[in-house]
Amino acid sequence: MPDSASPASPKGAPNCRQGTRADRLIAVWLVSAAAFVALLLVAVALGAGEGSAVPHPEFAPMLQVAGDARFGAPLWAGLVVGVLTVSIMGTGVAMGIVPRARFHESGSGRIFIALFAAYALVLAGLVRAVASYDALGPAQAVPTWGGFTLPAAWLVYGVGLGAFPATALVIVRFGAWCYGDHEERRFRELLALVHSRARGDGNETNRRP
Amino acid sequence: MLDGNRAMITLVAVGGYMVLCLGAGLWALRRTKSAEDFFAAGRRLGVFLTAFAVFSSTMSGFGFVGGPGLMYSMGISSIWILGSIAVSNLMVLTMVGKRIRILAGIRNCISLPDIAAARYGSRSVRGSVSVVILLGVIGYLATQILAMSIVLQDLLAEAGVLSDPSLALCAAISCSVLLFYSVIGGIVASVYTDLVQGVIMIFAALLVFVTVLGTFEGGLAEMTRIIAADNRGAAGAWGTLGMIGALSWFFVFGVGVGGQPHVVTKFMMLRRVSDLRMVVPLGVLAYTATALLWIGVGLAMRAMALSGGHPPLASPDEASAAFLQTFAHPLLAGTVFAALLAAIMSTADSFLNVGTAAVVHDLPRAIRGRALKNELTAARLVTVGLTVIAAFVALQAGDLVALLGAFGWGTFAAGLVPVIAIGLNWKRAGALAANVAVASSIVVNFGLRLGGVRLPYGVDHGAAALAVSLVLFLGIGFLTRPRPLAWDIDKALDI
Repeated sequence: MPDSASPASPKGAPNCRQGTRADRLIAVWLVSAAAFVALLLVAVALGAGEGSAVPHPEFAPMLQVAGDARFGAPLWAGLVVGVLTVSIMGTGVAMGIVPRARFHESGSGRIFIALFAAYALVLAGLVRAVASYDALGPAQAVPTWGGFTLPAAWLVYGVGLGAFPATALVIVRFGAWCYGDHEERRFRELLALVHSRARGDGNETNRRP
Repeated sequence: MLDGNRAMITLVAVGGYMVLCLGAGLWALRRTKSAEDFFAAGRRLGVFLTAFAVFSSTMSGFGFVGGPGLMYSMGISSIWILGSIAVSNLMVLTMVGKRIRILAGIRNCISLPDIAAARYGSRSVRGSVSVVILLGVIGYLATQILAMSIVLQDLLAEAGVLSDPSLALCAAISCSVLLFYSVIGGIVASVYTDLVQGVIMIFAALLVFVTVLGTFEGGLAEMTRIIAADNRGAAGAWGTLGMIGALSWFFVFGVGVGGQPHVVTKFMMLRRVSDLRMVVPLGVLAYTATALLWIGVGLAMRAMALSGGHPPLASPDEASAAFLQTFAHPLLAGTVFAALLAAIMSTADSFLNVGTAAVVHDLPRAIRGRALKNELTAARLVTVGLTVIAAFVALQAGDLVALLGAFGWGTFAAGLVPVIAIGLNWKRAGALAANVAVASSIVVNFGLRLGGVRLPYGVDHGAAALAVSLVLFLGIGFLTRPRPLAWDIDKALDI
């Protein structure tokens, strides 16, 4: 059922150049999402992951866990889920970058890719810190850094703040990568075209879909 | 002396804030002359207004009450929700913000279903997006109204203004203020109050964090040592939710921001597309500042309860209130309670606006193919109606409120990230893929929650729904032949 106010004229096939590039990036999303669903279905089929936190014996509704808070999941599974999530985020950001930026050929584009790869490596560092943390004996003191246990410090300062440099780079390069004078000019031209066609078709200029 | 009047100081601060909201409503009345003004602020918002509107709408009462409560009950787990702030906003900046503003410009869109209808050229997509928004809005609104009423009930009782104020009376008072400025001032009043609300929230969060650091000699590290000594898992990277559960939060909250209607519709209101460059980083900095309250208060109260410095809490959601009443200066406590009400109201008014747009502007177009005659008057009436329904749900529906509230974020993420965030960047996707994604988001999310299904490793229902809807949307998009787009949309998606 078409939207009644869609412009009746003229229509064309989707732009192939944009389509091919977007298709490649979208494929990363599809593979990652399919991997999540597959991992979840395997876990359901195996009846795995039934453990959960329990109420604290003295301070309920506070919760606590016995052991390592992985409930039997292997560390590699955490790394895979984390890296897939970051890859979805990275390709999502890339999807919004204009083709004319020739992103992966420019120096700043390469720096961005390196920063995002480093962001994925933060997850590897976090997983490594988790392994060391889980191996601590009950009598051993818990080392802290920046106010948190080492794995939690990786989370707060690595995962939490690790994307700030990449964000800052996109802000600095916003005009070249996302929306600069070139895009503004095209937007203005498109607006003018839309309005002139609306007048020519005898429709009101102030169309809504 | 100040300590003796703690409750009254808080009440005065909250009362002052409410008067400010009423003033904003009256001021905005003169600027709201059409449905476009009511829903999209006439597309003339500047950088600061938009940035604070986006931030205030996202950092709801959940950020000030629920977040510290999660830290108290689960330890570190909820930092995975906050951990994605920068990268998720980066995605919103490049994938969603620019495209929404451009489409809003060329088609005069004033709502998210407008954008979806323009992109897919389909009334059915407009209808399905409107339905999913309406379902989520009722749930979110009900939780915000319930939170406002509980906060006001506590304040009135503690200040001795009323001995035993009923929840219904408190709901009536708080909804009246909300309705006053939302009905007469529409989104214009909402964004200007958001600016005030955002400034109060940031200011209060920073001061509270300083107070948190002073509660233990040794600061955060000492709190961590106390929590880890009691339970290693709670102080580790995953908290008590566990590894896969925590990562599923990272996924659904990180990727899901691009589908939150109360957030992304704000980009339609920007005066210039290029302003996005500053809107997003300002929002990220504001989130980061208020995240300090979330983390700090939650950790401090857990450590306090474990070390005997404060009695254990009956409910995790009491963490913020208990901390403020015990450890904060009365003037700061008053400011934070006003900030709390601000956080709740700013989210509520945003949802009210997108829900009203779905009912007044989009459903009639989806069903009848044409608009209502007087959208502005209808919008004001529907705003009242939606508030009454949500208040009724909040006061009568018991567990349904929590169910609908929890349903909101995950459903918006699962239903709207594919349709909006991806659909505006990928021309292959058609109306079939969009409708299937929206339907699956509702079926999977509601099915799992109503069925009481616990997913392996504590995986979040919304995360599962998002993964399923992405597979369906992208799979159908790749397998079906792309339909030609309207010429202006085709060109707009190339910019």
